[in-house]
Amino acid sequence: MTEAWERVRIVVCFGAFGAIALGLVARLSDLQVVRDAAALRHTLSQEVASDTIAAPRGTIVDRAGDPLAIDRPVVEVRAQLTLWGDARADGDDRPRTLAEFCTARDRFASDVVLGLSRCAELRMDVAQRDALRDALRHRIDAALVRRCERLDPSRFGLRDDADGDATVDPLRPTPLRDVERIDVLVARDVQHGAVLEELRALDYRRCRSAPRGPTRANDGRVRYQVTFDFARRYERDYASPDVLFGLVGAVSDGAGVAGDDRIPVGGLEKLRVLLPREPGHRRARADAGRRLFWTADLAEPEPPILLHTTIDVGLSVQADTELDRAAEKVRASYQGSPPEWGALLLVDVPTGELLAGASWAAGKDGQRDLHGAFAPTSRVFQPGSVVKPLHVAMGLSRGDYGWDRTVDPARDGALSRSRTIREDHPLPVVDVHDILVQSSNVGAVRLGLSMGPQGIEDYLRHYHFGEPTAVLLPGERAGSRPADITTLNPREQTIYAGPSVLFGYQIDVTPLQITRAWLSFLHGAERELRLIRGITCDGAFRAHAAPAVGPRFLDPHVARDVRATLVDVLYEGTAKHIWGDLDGREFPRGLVGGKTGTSEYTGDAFRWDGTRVRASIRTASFACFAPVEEPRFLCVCVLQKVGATKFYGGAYAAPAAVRLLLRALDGA
Amino acid sequence: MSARLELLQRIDWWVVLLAATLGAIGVLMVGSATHGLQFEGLAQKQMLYLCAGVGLGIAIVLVPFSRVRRLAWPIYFAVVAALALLPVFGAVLNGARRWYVIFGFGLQPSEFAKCAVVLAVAAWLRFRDASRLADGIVLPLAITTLPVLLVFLQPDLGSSLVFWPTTLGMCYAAGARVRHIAVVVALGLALLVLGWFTVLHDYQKTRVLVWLQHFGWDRAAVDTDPGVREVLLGDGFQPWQSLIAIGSGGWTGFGYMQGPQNRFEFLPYRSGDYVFAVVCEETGLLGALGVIGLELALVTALLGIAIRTRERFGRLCAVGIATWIGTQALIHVAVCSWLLPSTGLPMPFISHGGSATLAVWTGIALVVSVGARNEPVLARE
Repeated sequence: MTEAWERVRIVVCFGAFGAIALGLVARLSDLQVVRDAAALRHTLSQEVASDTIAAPRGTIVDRAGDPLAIDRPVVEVRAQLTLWGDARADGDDRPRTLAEFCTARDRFASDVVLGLSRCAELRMDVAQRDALRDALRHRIDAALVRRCERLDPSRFGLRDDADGDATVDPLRPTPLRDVERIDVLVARDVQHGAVLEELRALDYRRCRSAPRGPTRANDGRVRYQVTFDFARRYERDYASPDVLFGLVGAVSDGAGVAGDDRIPVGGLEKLRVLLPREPGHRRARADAGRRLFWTADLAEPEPPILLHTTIDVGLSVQADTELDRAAEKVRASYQGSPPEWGALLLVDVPTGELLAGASWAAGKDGQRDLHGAFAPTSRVFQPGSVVKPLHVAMGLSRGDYGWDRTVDPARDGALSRSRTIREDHPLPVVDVHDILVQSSNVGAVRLGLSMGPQGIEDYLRHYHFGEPTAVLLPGERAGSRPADITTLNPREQTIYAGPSVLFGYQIDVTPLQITRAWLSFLHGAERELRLIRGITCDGAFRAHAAPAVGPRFLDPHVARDVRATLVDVLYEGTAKHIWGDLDGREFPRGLVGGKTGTSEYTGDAFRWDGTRVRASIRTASFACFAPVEEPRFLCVCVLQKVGATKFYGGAYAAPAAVRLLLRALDGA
Repeated sequence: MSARLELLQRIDWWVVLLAATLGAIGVLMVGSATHGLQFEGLAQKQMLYLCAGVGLGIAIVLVPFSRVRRLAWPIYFAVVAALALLPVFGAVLNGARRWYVIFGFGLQPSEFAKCAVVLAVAAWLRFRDASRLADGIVLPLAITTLPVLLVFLQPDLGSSLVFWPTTLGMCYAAGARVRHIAVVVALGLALLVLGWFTVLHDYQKTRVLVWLQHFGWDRAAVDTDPGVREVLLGDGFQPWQSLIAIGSGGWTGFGYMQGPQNRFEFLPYRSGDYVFAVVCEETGLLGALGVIGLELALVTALLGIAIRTRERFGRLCAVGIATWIGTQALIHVAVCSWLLPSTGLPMPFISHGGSATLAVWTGIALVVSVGARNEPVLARE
């Protein structure tokens, strides 16, 4: 072949290249000119991502509008730690030791600490750095333990201590096989922008240095890749959390990174209305690793609902203090043995609003259990004499008897051969005034029986014994009462159930329910307690429907006279000994009226220390109100003690209630 | 001194200019593809490789070409030996043994093997009648097969594909009969079918199958068919992202460092195997045409030197190197636009890679040296 011909062939080669290149140019033109819109759409669609911004829980505010429970936004940093195990290139998948895992873990912990130690704002000293490093190690170990639970952790030397710390035994084989992703909480409530930047930088460096997906390291060591999630979470802040735990409740710490998976514990927190509303969305651009790059488009979550309550924080604190003092007095009187539980409630009479509610429960160590069950709703007791004015006012209003009706306790106590009502203390012949002031059981029963079965049933019905209140606190017990008195047989009506309910037995009520009964008594009509005023949603206040006012069943004049009579309880009646416990406070006669109650029955009970005993269970109570002429405040105090004698409402419950009442009057 | 000045005057500066322009574009595109990443320093590294390549090229140009010719076979066997020893001394990266790590730098013998094969085949064909089947086709292919097999075993299917067109181009230019070449191509296709069942790995088969499938997809299927979506997010992820990057570039592209597919890391291996997609995304069709035009112009310039060279070894070297660079560039573009199954093949001058840059500049320097020296033509040629 000639040299010239070879040159021709070279030109042919060039032609072939040119032809192929033209074909490729045609393909590129098709892609970039004809189909560019579709490609652009695909580009944008796969980049666009949206991150959910959790909405806060509703805010609970007191009667002044100040927050009692509010979500505070915080940034939580979690690390998605990816560990590559089984990194041997020769296919040897013999179990390796956890030492390699520990190496990767320590590198991660050191990297995070190193990153954070560069933040001047944090001013971390050596001890703090070491503590953080140790904490991160423990968290990673704990995450590994949790992850390997199904693998029998003990086989791998994984141990989860009782206090939540986890340890791994470096000499044991690793349960890591291919790729393990471990979710580790790095920090909660991060507020320094610089900290976030440092962590982001760490994320940036680590993420992008590692290849996507499982790969094998050249050196056969376990490697790690970390991605940080910066999630907006909420910390729940409470005003006076120990005092208001019963009414407001709390939320337990959740483990989630987004959304609200906190578990409400007790109180108003359990109301569904407080659940977070629609979450917000933050538009973002996402890369192929689903890491997000925020854009400016931000749809904030819906603002929280404001739950307006009737709670007065100042009075609640005072109620808590007074109840604590009452419990301490019991402890002092009974050789260090505290009451089993106690409750103290304060109500605004005109509106029925619950201003304060304190609860006292003894822990097994005898000390106060601040987060125990909320006694006003969870404890039931037989109210005893505290109910006497309630039905006496009814009997007087109905005209079943007059103020001049007398009863001889020594003669009238025997209802039948099998049942005799007895007084706690000897009393002479008493009229209605004395029956209330001296708390005569025989007198109260004889007066009540004058109303007949229908009258007794009306008394139970109007005061709603055996029905939960309308305060909407979750878990409130309903209490109990006998069946419809009018349907019972005559013996029950006149000898057993009928008479018992007239001096506060055979009915079980919660402190809240006896408070409601007294509220109705003070109004002369059926009334309900209120704890929630309404909600503010999207800037508009929506009042909670006020509980319906029931029919008036007390004559106003009679009710006023009964209230006036109850003033004497504090001066010459069962509560006359309170004056030494009022811190020297004096007030004009006629300002405060009240009624003591002491019930006792023998049965099986759990003492505060957890022991089960068969003993006398005594409940001391006191209900008081002020001013007597036109009541503004109602206060009820209840204390229960197992195995005690001489445990009276006038001695233990009355002082605390009156002190709180006076404090409320001072504020008003 | 005067001889060197004369050498300088005879250098085809267009080749140097085109290669340098492409090299500079490469540094820029590698910079864009690695901007803001852990690999951010790769642009500087690429610049270093470029300088090293130019330096190596100058050294090669200064070496008398006759000495290069004498070293063709030793170079060939040295490279074959280097390839053969990779399983023993090579480092594993991404599951393959392709590199020797020397002072922290990876050296990939397969890139230099392309140059070595060109030299060896040119040396073989120099005094032979290429129209004979054995001399013109069979033995040159045998010379090529040995390193190709070693490269294929690494495994590096992409690089091994470049050798065959290069050798066939040289054979054709040397005067091999077209029917012989046609028979060889037919046999090659038959071997390809055989290889499908025997030597191809599963992931390689999957790439081919997905590539074949994608011709049957219409636009609606891409958007709505869950099966297609699964493939596009799985085995077809790389070429699909490359198509999106190319298509979204439009006429003029998003601008330098502004391509979303690049910036948000949807495009995998974008500084190497898919760098042309970055070019298309950020500079649009006009930029892509520019780069292809420059590559084609360089190939033209190299073939021009081949045409002007009378000495057969030098001429065949120029043809081989032009074919190698042109073929690799075209395969790279075809892979990026999914006209070929996805395979890892860098674009000459543009993609990141030290060995590839040094090898391609070695080739350029050889051709420049051929063009600059008026080597005597021997009687047997």
